[in-house]
Amino acid sequence: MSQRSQKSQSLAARAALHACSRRTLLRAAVAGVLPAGGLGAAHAQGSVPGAAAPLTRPIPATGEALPLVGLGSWITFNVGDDRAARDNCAAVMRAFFDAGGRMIDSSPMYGSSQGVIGEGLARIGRAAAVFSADKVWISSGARGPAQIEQSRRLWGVPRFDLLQVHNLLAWEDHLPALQAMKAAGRLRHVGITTSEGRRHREIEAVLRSQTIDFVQITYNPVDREVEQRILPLAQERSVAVIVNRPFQEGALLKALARHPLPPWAAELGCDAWAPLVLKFIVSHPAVTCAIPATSSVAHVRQNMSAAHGPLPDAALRRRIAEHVAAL
Amino acid sequence: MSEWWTYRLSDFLMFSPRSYRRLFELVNADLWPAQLLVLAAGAAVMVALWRRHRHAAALAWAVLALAWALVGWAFHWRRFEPINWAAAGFALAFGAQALALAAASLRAWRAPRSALPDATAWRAGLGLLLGALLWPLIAAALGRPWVQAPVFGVAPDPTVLATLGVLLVSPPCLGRVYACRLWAAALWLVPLTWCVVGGAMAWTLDEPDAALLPAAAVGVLWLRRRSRQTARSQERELPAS
Repeated sequence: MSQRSQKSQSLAARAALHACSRRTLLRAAVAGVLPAGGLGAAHAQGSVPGAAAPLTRPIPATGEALPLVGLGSWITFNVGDDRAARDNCAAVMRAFFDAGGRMIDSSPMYGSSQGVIGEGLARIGRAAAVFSADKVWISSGARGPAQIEQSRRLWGVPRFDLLQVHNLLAWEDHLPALQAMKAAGRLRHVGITTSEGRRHREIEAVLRSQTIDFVQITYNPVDREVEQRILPLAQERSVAVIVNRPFQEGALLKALARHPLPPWAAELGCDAWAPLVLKFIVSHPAVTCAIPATSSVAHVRQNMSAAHGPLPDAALRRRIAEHVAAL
Repeated sequence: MSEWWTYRLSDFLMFSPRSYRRLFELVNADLWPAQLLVLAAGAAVMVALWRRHRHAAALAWAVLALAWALVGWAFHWRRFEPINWAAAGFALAFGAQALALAAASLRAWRAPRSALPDATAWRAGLGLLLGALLWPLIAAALGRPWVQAPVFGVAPDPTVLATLGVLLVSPPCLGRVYACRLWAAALWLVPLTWCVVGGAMAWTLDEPDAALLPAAAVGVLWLRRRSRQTARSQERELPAS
């Protein structure tokens, strides 16, 4: 285990001693997760007072706690100038923050999503609470800074918490620029992304050769290739893992909806497939958070419920994967 | 694009079916009651073509030029572009088609006699034009609310269908002159391309009417080929002077 990882885990454990019950501590020891208040109230400032804080996992690089469930914006927040749809997106964001959520992820590739997020944050007054995760997506390294500045303006944040090289596009040019931004204090974390199993060899190469804080990949009970090499490597290199496409853009939940939820899902406090799938994902010890996207207030609440209650152990994770694969 | 073979059509879809349908609702609201005027102009085109009015082709191309310009600006540029990167290109293509159709209208006005297709193509073309004007009824029958109905001159699909119909009824060229054939091909290019692009998009979005436009394109191409063959055989049968 690297020094950075040991330091962050020790920080997390110290914070946990202050804030957690014995049962939560036991769970934290097993799964490496903590309630959101564990690393200071500032991290839970977005949630509704009195509401149970979601479980969190520390970012290995800094020890900062992130709720296990974030919010993606691919497709769902790309609503253009549709006033009613923009209002709905703001309501989804409000419900997300009320449930203790923090990380919202977007990209300049996602059409109008960045502007919709920025408008929503301003309207509900949560720009200070958000963990802003965006991407640079341009083949020219020289034009990266201008794109990032444009993205920042659309979000309406003073700086991004995380910038990732989208789908590794021109990563050799962008990563040094992002590292320089981080060194200058204009960015907090640096990462790379891919989705749906693409370019995994290159992801591995970057994880081995570069110092980055985050890697974003696709992972769910059906798409499990990352369990073989990328997740263990991220753990070894103390890199936080964001999981995209947890529901295969809805296709997985659509397929699962034809089958009844197994009775043992109740052991995890799950009353629907979505939180069960999310609990499978975020219970992997290498995963920092999953970022399901939705345009439904009810669904964002349901997704956030996966960051509460017990998480499956290794045996139950196997059972979930086997059960889903057999359907 | 690396690992391009792993991409599916749906990977390029960056908006939801809900946003796509709202698009029609928003454009309809933006332009109301212009739809009534455009539909009336479309009906006038149909009557003129049915009666084989001397300037029917010029009128048809002029109305279609207006319709393509309106769709390019109001639909693609103003409403679709914010949720779809490709829509800026669609807007340009629709604008270019509008210009080409306006040029075709001027040409038809100066030389009103155009080649006539065979009777089957003529009837099918008028049928397509009627179908385009009645598209909102088809959409309603397939479960779409009235406010989201694609209307000729406002939405791309019925506008393209009407254009295919007019291209069949009043072909810009059935002869063998190279420049004439090139000109005709240019007028077909964008509508046929949209049949592929729009059909693929609707299919990916699970729209119930996704097959209509591609099926119409296949039928129209077959009828056009038949018309050309008929015209050539008639040329051969003409006695040498």
